Amino acid sequence: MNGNMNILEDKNMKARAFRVEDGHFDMLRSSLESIPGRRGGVSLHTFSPYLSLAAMFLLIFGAFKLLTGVITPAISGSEYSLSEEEYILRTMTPTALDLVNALPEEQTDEADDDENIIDYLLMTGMQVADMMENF
Amino acid sequence: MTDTEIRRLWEEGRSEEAFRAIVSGYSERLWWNIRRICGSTEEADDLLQDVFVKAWNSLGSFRWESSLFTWMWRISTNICLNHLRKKRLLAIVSFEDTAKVLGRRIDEDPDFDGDELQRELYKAIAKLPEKQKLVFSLRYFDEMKYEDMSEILGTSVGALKASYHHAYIKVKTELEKNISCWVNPF
Repeated sequence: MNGNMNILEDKNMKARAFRVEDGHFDMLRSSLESIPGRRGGVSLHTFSPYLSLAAMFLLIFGAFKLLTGVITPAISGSEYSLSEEEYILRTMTPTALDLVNALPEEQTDEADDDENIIDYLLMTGMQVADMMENF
Repeated sequence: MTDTEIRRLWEEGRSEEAFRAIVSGYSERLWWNIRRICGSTEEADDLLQDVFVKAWNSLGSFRWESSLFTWMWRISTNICLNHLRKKRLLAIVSFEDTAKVLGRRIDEDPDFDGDELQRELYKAIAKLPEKQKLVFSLRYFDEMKYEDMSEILGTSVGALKASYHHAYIKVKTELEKNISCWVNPF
């Protein structure tokens, strides 16, 4: 073969390289011409690649959850495997129980209640003398 | 039938006649373009249906300022590009090389009727990126003007010339490499 010859310039290369049955285009044309009478719709094959991708993500996510569910208890039991920062974070971060314990003791002092009642009665216009009589 | 005649039919309310004229004028040429770059005969048939469904649904909003020729080709190339992207996505999902999948399809295509050189040509085209594949096919097989391609693909003439040049060199190099393997297998 001549090395200088440009194969792409060979006319034969541009010739149609696929076999088509006799009458294929007539059938195709009549099918296309019937489009105006049809109702539009979206076929499932339009979405098939996206469905495959979504299924793959679900599979990976499921596998990840399964693995982390199995692995996490083992890791949390061994705090030596944590980095210094992770250890500090883990030990310093208050848990919900810590927060509940940190709440002040429930107010049992009745004096505060009395003061509130007196304030309320003064606001409603009750005289101090009347209050003294009733209390 | 010219664009003006088709437009007149459309404006007279003879929409189905106008559509039939478009089918008659463009279906075969578009089919060959789709067939060359997108896949099997069945895929080309389905994609061509999609092209004409889209054309029928959008004909009402067509402004008749551009030619029907570029409009139809634009719809066809968009559908082709989407199809090729889906194929690439599927190949990624199945962890396969898109070019290899498309190349294998040509080897396994029962309707392939070309010689070995043409088979290698189509395999080389399959290895091109999607847009280069389209540019190469439109210019090489359809001998389309760069100006028309520019309108269809929304890319400048200069960029298209560069893209075609790159594609041409890649295909030529690939062909020469494969042919030298036939001539001198060792």
